[in-house]
Amino acid sequence: MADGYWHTLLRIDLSRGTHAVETLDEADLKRFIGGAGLGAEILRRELPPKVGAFEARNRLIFATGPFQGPAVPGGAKFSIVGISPLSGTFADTAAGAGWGIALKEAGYDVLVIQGAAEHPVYLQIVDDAVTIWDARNLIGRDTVETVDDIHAETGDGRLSVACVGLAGERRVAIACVAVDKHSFGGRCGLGAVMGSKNLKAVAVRGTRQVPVADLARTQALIKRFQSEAHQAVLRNHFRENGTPGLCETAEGLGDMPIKYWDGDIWPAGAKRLGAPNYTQVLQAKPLPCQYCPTGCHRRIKVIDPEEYALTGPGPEYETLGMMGTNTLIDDPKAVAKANDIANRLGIDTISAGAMVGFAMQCWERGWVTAKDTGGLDLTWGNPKALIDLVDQIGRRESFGAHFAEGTLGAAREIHPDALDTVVHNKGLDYPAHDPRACISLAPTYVTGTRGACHFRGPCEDVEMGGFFLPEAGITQGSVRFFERPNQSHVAVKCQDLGALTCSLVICMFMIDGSEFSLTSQAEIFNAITGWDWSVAKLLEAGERAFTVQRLLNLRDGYGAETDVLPKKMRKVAKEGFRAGKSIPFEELMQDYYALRGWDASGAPTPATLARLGLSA
Amino acid sequence: MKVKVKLLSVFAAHAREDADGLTTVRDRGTVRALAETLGLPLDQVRIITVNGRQVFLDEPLSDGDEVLIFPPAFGGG
Repeated sequence: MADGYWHTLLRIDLSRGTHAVETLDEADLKRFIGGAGLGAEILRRELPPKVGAFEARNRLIFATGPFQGPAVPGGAKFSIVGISPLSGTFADTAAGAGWGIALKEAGYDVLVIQGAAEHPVYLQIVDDAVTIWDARNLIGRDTVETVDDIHAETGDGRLSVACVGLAGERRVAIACVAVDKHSFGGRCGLGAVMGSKNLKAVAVRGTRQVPVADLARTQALIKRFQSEAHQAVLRNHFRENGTPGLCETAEGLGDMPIKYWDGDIWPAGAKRLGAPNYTQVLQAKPLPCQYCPTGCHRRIKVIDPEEYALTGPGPEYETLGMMGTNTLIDDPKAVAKANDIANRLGIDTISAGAMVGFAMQCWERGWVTAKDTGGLDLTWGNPKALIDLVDQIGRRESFGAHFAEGTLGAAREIHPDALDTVVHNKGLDYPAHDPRACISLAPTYVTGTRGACHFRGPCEDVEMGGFFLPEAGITQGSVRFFERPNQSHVAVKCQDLGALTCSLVICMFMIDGSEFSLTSQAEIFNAITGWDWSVAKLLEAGERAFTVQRLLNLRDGYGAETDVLPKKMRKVAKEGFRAGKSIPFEELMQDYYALRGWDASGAPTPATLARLGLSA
Repeated sequence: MKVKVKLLSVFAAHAREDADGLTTVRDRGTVRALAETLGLPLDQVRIITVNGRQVFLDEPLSDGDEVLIFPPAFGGG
């Protein structure tokens, strides 16, 4: 079959030290496509409910889709799936660089890792050769050193390496998986799951090219879309500014987090942190993933002051929001330094920033003092507090050790009143977009299958004019700020898009920022697979993937009673764009459940499951 | 007529203010006319507020209005 798949799953049992190649059922590929959709279904079949994240039987699934074979623009992506230590339920995270492409070139669509090794190991996969190496010498090495060490040790500098840093080794619940030194499967703590399996890294290289249905057409479409997307990002300044270009707009619309969600406006801070100032101060240049026409990541260089000196990946918008405006720090160099520490130790910069903001709030309220923090002054705006606390969290040391099980865990330890102030859903800290500004985010966050996430439903960018989805009836003017009509429709369709994107797998910034439309993506999908799917059928596959993830949430104890807003999201702004506005949450959820075909408990009705060909 | 215009980020370079910080637009002009006067890329002018209220390109302007034009927010990751 020439359809962009090998139809193979490589399963590695670290407890037994064995590996086996299994055949992927074509019917499954046609229902779930790949990535986080297929990964969720594998979890559902192979695990009973309520498996602990650090139990050896938890799976760590690295999954590609049909877009990792040919050089599809934005196709340098793959999904990692497992049970999260933050939520205790389904989680997926996506990373870029070249790892997903390398797995495909090695001849596999999916890698499933189960069990736990007796001592630290790393995997080397080169085509049919699968080797488990001793990694005791790599313990304590950061995410950059680990790549260099593995390249040196194997003598193969072309291996793509996904690894964990110290945080993953120490099971810090926000540990990420770092790929090739510059891309990160950041959210949900799957790096801690990797660490719990004593797995330091997975290094992959391949020499094979997966057959596709129509190679000539695929190549012609790639050429066209590469060129169109590149022109688009030059025109709209996305390549020039990267995600830091968003800061001023987001802050101006009340979307950027300020002072751990208690602040309303900070235009000067957003201006200083965002591009163009960011670009100038940090000497930023585009840092593209493989085959990427956009290059949204930044490579930065800081020479002075000496304590902030670094060369490497720069902070994204999310990090500028969570570590910057959220903590009232407006120095891009300080945020860049904290970002670099987080990257090297291997922790999610969104949750790390949320934790620092939360800690500063606790300091201001007198819930923690210098006695608790070992003398660290957690006053708002103190860059030393940000840098030192991020370091402590990543190392699971000193005051930072309170955060080892997430912000909720820290709140429980810090003060009885602190729990109510945590801004999260399913234990996952809110990212740097405020549902009080873009109200379609409210249903998106509370029902987010991996917890509060804008990237599994980028509806805020629809509200803020960044992209539209005409194929699903979403065009400019479909929604207006703060007004109920169509908001839940946008939330549902963007979530389906998010699940689809993570199943194909393709970077969300192809449609959101690079004008690579879903219609164009369908064209290339059909050239690769030969399946002749409509856009509607693709979106339905996204809905099916989302629904399987929801079924995992439900069996792990989530439902309507947890589809709720954190208390701070009920607080109304006094100034700025969202002054006096509140989220019509109950109305939005009413619309949302109806559109989803869910009953009052938050479960898909039998009719919904039947329509999607799923069983409960 | 004259309006107060605030342009953010990549749009800031298009500002054309007089000594009082105001921008002249033809009488009974719309946001579209203002955007054309300023040389803004019309396909990127998607988020507009006038006196704090969200509007679209064909909104008529009045003397003294406060107009905010935001570059679209994509790539929110």
